[in-house]
Amino acid sequence: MMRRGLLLALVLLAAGGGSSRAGGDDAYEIIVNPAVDVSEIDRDTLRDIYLKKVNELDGHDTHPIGLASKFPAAERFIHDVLRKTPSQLKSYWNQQIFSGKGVPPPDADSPSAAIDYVLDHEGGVGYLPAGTPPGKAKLVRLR
Amino acid sequence: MKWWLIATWIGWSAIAHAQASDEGLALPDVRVHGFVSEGGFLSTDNDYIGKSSRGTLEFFEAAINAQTDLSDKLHVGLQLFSQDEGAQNDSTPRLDWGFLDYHWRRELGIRAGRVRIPFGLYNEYIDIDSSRVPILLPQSVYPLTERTVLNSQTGFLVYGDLPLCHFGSLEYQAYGGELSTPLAPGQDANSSRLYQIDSKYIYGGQLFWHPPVDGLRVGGSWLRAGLDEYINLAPALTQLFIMEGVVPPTFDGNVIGSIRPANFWIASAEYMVDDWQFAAEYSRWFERARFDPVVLPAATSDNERFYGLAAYHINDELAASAYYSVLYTDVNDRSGSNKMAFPSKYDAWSRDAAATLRWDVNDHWLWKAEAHFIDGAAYVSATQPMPARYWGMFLVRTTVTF
Repeated sequence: MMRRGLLLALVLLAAGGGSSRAGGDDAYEIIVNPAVDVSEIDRDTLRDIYLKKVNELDGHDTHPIGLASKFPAAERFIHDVLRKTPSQLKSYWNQQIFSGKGVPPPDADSPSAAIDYVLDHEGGVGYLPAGTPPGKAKLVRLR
Repeated sequence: MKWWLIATWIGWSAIAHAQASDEGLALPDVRVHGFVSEGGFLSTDNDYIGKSSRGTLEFFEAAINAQTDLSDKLHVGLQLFSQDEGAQNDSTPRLDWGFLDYHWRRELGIRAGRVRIPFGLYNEYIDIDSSRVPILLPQSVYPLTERTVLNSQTGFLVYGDLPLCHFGSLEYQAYGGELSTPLAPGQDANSSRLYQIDSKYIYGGQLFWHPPVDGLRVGGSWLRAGLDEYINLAPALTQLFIMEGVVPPTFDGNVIGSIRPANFWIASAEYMVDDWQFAAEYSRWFERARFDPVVLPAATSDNERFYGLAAYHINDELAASAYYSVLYTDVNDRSGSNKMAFPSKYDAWSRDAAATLRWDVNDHWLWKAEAHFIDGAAYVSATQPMPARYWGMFLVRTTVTF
């Protein structure tokens, strides 16, 4: 009985570690431009891309795009991947903007706008609410 | 330094022209941001920011900046800044920062132009009210009175972030150039007047370790600078020095005060976890000053400065912070026993306990209220005779950011 419980826990853990977060309206999936030849991306790299500390992925200059805050997936992404609270993220970008170090990635008003942006830029990186058809953008696994 | 403005606009114009010839007029995607901040302050007894003991609404700051990516790795931007804060009443907009930034890769980038000086956790962000809870950052380490001196330098800065596998990463900045210090306008002709500042050099660096603990960073910064200040002494003071035989009868009152070197270092730690922020810094500021002609003997000073700060975001609208900030003018005489240097013992220190409440009305508009209770007069003893030992300071401020 105990072994079956352990097995079930392992299965659930494995399901949660895929390309998208399982369950809930706030789950998200990562997409990239098809020119980016990666099938998975680790959380720290993705975080650094969105904070604009890293500007290359697979030899392509990165162009990240977020989702507007009205999407629950946006808040979940900020918490899980950027590992910041909304107020910390706002403070971080205010510091970057007013010291001249850079501006935040744009936020898309809709998942389709995020897909268009990713397809328009060779190093395009974005995320979508889980289950959204990615069109010609490529889904990648989040490590 | 208007040439920086001109050079930047020429650069943009050239790029716009190049694109215009190919595909019509296509300016780069320029992002414009700014803030306007106004407030008031009142201090009991001592004057800290201008004539604060009378209460004043001279607490205005505004900035507007424009930034664009000229290519995937080349970024350019500039910011104009205006300020009317007590004695710093320069409301004429001036270039605050403006530079080209080539971010080659994660490990290496370079900025050229007028860039913010990285010193401690917050010196680069000293006037960004919306990025913090307190109105005034701890004044021992980030004194408002030194903002124009330590804000930016004109020269070069290299920066990068070095991954350390399982041990986090190292973030570095190193720079060199000249200080860009504007003169305070509107000085009284009957008082001693600073009429020119000649920066000789500034260089320094900063290193932060980001361990594999979210929200934690520890590190240090160091800078070394040299500058000459050209001062025209008040007529009464000039006559006094002549009568005492310190200077010849032909002395015209012009003195050069040289600070060489100014040698500052600071150790810093910050931890942000959930809705909490904790920060602590310890700093030493060493300066050697001499005068030509020798109206005063050469002198050295070794300040000790430190603080601890905690801030908490109660919800999306409300946040509160508190800090305790300490300045000792002479690290070797914290109790002020040297009567020559400290006419009152408490001139040797300032111990400042401050509390702030911040209210974000929406994403662009905020209000803050802050109270300080201060023991000691080191903040004000250089500019004010016979300061009081115990005093308070109260501030309110509203800021709109876009």
